[in-house]
Amino acid sequence: MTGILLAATGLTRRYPQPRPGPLARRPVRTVLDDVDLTVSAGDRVGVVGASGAGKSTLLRLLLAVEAPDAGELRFRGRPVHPGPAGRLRWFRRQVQYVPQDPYGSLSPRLTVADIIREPLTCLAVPGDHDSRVDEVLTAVRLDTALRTRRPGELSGGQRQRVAIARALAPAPAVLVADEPVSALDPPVRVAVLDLLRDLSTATGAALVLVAHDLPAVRRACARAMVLHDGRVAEAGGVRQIFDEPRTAATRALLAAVPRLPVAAAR
Amino acid sequence: MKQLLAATTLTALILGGTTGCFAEPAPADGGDQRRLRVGLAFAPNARMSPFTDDASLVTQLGVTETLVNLDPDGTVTPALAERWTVTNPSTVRLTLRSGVTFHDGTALTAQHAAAALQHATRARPVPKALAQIRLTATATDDRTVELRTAAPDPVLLHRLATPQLAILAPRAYQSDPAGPDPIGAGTGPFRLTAVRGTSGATLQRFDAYWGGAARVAGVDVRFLPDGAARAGALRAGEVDVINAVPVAQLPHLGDHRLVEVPLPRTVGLHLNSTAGRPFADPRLRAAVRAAADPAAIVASVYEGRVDVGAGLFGPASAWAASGRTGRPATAAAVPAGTRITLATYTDRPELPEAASALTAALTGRGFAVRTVVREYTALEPDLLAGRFDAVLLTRSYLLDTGDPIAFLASDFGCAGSYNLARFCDRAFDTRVTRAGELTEPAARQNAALQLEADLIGRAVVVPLAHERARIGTTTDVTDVARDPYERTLVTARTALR
Amino acid sequence: MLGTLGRAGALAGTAAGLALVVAALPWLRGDDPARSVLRARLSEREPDRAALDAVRAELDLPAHPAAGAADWLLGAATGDLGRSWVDGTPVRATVAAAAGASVTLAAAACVVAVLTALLLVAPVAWNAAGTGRRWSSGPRVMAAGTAALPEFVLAAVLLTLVAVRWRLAPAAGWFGPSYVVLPALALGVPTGGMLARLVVTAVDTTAAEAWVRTWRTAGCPRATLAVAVARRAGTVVVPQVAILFVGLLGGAVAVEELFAVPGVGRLALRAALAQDLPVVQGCVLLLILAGAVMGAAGVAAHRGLLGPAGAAGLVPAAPVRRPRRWRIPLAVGTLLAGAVTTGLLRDPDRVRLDRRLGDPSWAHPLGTDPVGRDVLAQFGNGALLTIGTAAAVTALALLVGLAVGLRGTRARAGGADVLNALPPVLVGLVIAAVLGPGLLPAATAAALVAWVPLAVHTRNLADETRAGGHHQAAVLAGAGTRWILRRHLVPAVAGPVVVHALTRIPGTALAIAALGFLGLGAGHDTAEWGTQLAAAVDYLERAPTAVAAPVAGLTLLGVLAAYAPEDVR
Repeated sequence: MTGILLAATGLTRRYPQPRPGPLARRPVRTVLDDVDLTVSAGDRVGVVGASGAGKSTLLRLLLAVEAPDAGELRFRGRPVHPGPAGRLRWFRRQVQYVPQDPYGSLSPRLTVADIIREPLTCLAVPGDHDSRVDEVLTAVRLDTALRTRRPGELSGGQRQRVAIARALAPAPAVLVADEPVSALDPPVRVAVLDLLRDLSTATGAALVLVAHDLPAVRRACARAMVLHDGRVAEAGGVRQIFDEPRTAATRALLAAVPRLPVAAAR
Repeated sequence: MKQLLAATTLTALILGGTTGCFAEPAPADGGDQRRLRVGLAFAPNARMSPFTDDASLVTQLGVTETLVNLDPDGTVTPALAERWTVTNPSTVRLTLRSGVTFHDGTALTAQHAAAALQHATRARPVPKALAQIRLTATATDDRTVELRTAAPDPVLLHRLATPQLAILAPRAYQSDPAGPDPIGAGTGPFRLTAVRGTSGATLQRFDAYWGGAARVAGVDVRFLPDGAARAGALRAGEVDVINAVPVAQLPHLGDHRLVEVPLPRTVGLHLNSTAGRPFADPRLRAAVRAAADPAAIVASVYEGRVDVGAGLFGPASAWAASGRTGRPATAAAVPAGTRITLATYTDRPELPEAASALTAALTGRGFAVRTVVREYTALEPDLLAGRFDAVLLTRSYLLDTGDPIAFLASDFGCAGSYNLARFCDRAFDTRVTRAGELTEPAARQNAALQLEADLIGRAVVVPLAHERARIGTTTDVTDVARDPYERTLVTARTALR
Repeated sequence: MLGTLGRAGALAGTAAGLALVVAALPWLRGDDPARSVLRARLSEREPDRAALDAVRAELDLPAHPAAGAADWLLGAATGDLGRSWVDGTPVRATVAAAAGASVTLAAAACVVAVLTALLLVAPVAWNAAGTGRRWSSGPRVMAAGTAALPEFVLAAVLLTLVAVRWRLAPAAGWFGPSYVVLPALALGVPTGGMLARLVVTAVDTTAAEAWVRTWRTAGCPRATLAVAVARRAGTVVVPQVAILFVGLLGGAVAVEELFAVPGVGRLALRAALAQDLPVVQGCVLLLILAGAVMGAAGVAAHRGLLGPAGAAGLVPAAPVRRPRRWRIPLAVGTLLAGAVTTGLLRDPDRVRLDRRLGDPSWAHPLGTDPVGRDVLAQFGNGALLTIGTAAAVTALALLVGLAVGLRGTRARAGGADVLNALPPVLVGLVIAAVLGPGLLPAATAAALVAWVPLAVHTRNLADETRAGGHHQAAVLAGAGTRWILRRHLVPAVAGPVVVHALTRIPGTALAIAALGFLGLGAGHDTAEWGTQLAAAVDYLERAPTAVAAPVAGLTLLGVLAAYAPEDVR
């Protein structure tokens, strides 16, 4: 897979706010303002910003859950619009989602195997689904014996791996991960981030990582984009952004990361 | 937290705002004179218009009066009219009492009385008492009213006692002549001041009443259709007088007084004798009569508080028991599984139980009975179409004229409008017509008894019980009217000790 | 904007349709409106030709239902609702007055219901906030038992005890705020039990959500946490309260008749029996509007209570894992089955007038009914018919409710709210007119109204589930609507809604019995709990066992339903 996969240009999104009074006009907040993002094959892009910068909204637009008020989204040149599941099937095959919350995103009633099989069945992926389930379970470094367990019996890290396995199952071209490690303990975080990076390298899938956790982005991504108040403050290679921040926004973000003294980290 | 506050405020506002949606509470006692509190079973249907069922409500509360009254044995007694003369079979002249004023101060004159009767003849529908005749009322002078009918009518005076022919002041007919408003327009001991929908009404004493001022300062009426609630209100001390006490509540009245008045109302089983139906056979009808055990039903379902059915006419009519002679009855047949339907209605609480008892008795006799019990309005179309074989109902036989012949004609005549037994016998019809022409009350009563004997002998109808009016009062109340026609309840003499 | 217009159009269409049905009522019943109006004015007046013609001429009755409906709708559009055929008063004034009384009563009953529910739920929320161990079987059972109490029996008991014996509240009438107490209690307590049943389930689910544990370990005061849990669990209850309010406006007929409350239910029923069509049309219009308004309010309230979390898809879903208790349901079930079997072995039809209203004795362990039949025998023989019919109706209502509630992607007020607003007796009247008397028409009439609360419950749960994380994830995994329904929505929704439906079985049995006076239902002498109750309630003080037996049966049934498993694999 080569070439540009996901191309978002000029994405703008506004939301109406609650009225300050019964007769006042409803104010409108611009959550995203003219954001561009290009994802090519093999890319690992991080999207960072403070809370409220518009990361979740950007995610929803990239996944065609909502339609932008301005701008457009294309995948391999083909325009993408939100719509019924049937019409978006081709898109969903190629762009998969790793959710933030390992506790809520897996249905408590289904087994791990059912969960991973879900996209395979819904997207009508050819091939033997059972062996594919085992394949991805191994790829995310989980024991295939876990396939009969339910999410309630797994730890947070295991659940997140299952979520990643589900996203990987249809062999997508792009993996969009929404703060995938923020709900996990630090040692587990490192493992999962490394997993994501390695999977992206191994399968050739592009990775878009939305996070406010800067060290995570630095570890897993090659490129990064800083969002501030709905606009792109800075974009470029991770090293350049983190070591030579050019805008105040980026600097503020970096300053907010606590640096533990080396002794305590041991 | 804010939402909880908002919700509580909203609820309080709703509850507070709708407090105005209550009927105003009964006014406090005026001075040292106590007010009578009455709980009635039937709410007004038509804003107390005398041309509807509300007419008896208005007379029971002592608001309006008629020209004459009937006493228990059917004799006409003076009311607003002092005396009368029957000039010829179609004409009667009445002399009005002097010194009678309406509640609004107008004096009662013959012109007003005649006008009131003329309005009644123009009501749509015409009151039942006037249905079969064409009446003209004119005032010959200030105190004399002349009534003329198209055909000779022996019971013309009796008709005038019906509550629908109450005399109202001219103001009552001004806004809507078809639905007169008795507020401030009656002649009785109490003046109707307010009617609150179907909840209640307030009456004040009318001091200028011709029969002397009433002994209570006023009456506060509540309309409580449910029997248990009505009895409960009496027991809880919220009302002083209630009418229509259900049999089920009688054991709980305790210290309260019960006034029982035999009513000219018979509970009977009417058997559908249309050709082709099981009861076209008189012997099967006789089997029903043999199977039914009125004494057991009266003793159990009615707990002995009604009189066992002796015929169509009961103890309310003194002439019935004394004049009755026995008649040979048809022999009964064995039913052998004949399928019949028995219908009754729920409006009187004792009827469904009596129906169950009858069903059991008939089934024991050999019939296969299907019982249908519904509310009356849901039942009437099928009743009048003759779809049931046996109908258990309670029926007043003196209707509006105090005369039994009209009842026999309407309920058993070929052209009768309420002939549920579908009984049609030309000879019987002729005898009814001839009886209707008799002028002497005694002769009419005798004729009625003979016709009754014929019907009972042929088992066209099986009488079960004769009903009584049951009025419950506290021990403080005295002199509530005992009226078998249920036209009066609270009078000028009613008092609270 | 377009959506609102569309909804208004649907509402107008429903109003027109119902107006047509009401206008067609006399034709369906085969009862000449002139006769029924005459009967309403003069009950002893036989319907002879002259009288009927006089009434007909005065009323100018429409020749055809469509003409009548059209005339009335045109008038209604300009605000003129016509005049009553029975007494000529303007319909608007009459209906407005009745509406005032009904709104007061319904509001008070809702307050009582919510308070009852809170009372029953408080221990569960307290427990959830404190130890995290879920104990809810006690309140669950009490809630189910309370929900099964028949309103008219409770009303009669309250009248006897509170008004007559203890003189704490007025017996009957509508003359001031104190007159609301007893009717509101009679209506509110059983419904409070029903609401509590729903909330207890919701509290169970909520208590398992992660944030509760977090708050607890963070040292949040127990009371605050309990309130928060209750509030979160309450999201499913608020729309039900809205339904309840509207249902009470027109549906509290039995209580209104007993306590002489001049409300809309009583007005509509009497007008319908008298075929005073303008008044019936006016009442139906009022109820439709109320239904639409409260339905929308319920949806808005639900969404409001879910809060921003609902909108952002952050509502967590937790599995409900309760240890299956079988001892108590087994005991209750055995008791019920035992009583029923014993009753079945006895003769229910033997009328012994001399043994009427007998006390419990060796010969008749539960006493005798008003015509001397054995109460235990009636209980046993009536059980199968009562439970069977009610269960069948509830099953049908469940299927319809699930189907309707799961339809569509966004909850919005619709025809369900309007149907819920219609009084069941009016529906029964129309059904009786169309299908005739009998048990099947009674079941149909009950089913037509019974699915609405289930549909609303389904709709709300579906709303919440759709707001949940794994639903979102499934959509992004490419799942289509049908897949999501099958795999995610139905399993999440079915459990609680099935339990809700089971809890409504006693209520359905009573609803069928309440239609008996129209000729709908089992025959008069057929053994059936509802008809037994209706006949025995007049003798509450003299033969309490005759009333207690069917009530106990219904309550035990409700309690059994309380133990139904809620998680569906």
